[in-house]
Amino acid sequence: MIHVCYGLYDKFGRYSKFTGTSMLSLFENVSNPPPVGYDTYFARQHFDAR
Amino acid sequence: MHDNTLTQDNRDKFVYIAGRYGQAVRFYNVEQLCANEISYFKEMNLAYTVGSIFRFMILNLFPKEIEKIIYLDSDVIINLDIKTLWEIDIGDKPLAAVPEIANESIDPQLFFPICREGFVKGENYFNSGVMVMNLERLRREEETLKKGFTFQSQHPRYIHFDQDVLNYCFSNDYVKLPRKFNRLVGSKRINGSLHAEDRICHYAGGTLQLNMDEAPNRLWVKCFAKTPWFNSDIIGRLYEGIRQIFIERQNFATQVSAVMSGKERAFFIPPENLDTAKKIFAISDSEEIIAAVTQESLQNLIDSMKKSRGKKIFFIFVGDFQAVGFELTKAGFVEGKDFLNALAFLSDAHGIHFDSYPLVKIM
Repeated sequence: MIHVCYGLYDKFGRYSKFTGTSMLSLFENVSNPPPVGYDTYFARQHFDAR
Repeated sequence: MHDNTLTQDNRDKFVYIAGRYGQAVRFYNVEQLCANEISYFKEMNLAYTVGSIFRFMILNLFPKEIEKIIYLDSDVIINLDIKTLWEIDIGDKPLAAVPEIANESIDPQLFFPICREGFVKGENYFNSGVMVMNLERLRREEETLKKGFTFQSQHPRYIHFDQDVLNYCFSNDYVKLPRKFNRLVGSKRINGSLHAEDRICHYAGGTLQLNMDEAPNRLWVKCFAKTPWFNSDIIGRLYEGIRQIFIERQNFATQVSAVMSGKERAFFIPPENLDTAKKIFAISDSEEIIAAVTQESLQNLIDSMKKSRGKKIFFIFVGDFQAVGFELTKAGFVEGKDFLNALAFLSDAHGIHFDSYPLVKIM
């Protein structure tokens, strides 16, 4: 698993767009995406760290 | 990593993007999880912004099982498989990053005060926008980082807060990455190599533009158009942004027309731009021209402006208008009344490109 992190301080709501665009470009270029069916289980679970 | 400024709507959009690609996203609220660390920064009285301290929260935020992480600034576009960066062996070094000097846009030794003043060697100063961070090693470097924060608190003029702290601590002990992993778009523009293939493009300093004849701009817009933030409202916002720019230009033209009433023109021009300026502004032989060469030239300009006693308006034809304008204002002159930025009159036809970054922000 590859861990990538961004820092987001978004007082005016602008930086979420930048971060989201960057994140999309990251995923677009992954050469070995998760197998079919992976997204129906794992990716739908987004985690809040406690 | 985020704080309470992340809205639920934006959070849902991040989840949506991850889901489309079969990936996962985890949210760490720094305000809740690192309250003690944030208090520490406040007590140190450091000149930080909230976002600039996030990089330092990484060490305490993530589970110990995560020994390595790639940190990315928000203004980067990844146009390669991130695995190629992840698989670089950084050994026991605390981090890997691209040295600023690799991008050839600035001389770090001159540009960054921390280098100019001898605390970090220019050739080692790295850009912290893309880093591979060895968390296992960094967790052992708490004392080193504290020394970095103390140093920063003693040098508030060093405005690249988090980047300067990391360089103070690790500029002699990191893995230097090839520049393709953090290719500054502004630098590529200056050096004429504007392709975006097989690299991470970093749009630092507002270098993201909307002219689609540049590959890095096209790349960013292509990615943005696939996100849930791209919707029909953007057309309205762009229209309003363009309308405001048009109104500002109209007001500027009216202001110049009024200011010029009863006055002569004079010019402050570097010798290498003289012929171009004469052509663009149709400068006659009878109009005063002061050569912009050295610091002494600036004094010549100020003396001439005092001598003309408001009967002339001076067109400042230098790249760093802000610095000159600051000195003229200090000397008691008023921008828009005694002097104007000559470059504000120029366009693409003269090699001055329209800055569309304000429109990017509006989108």
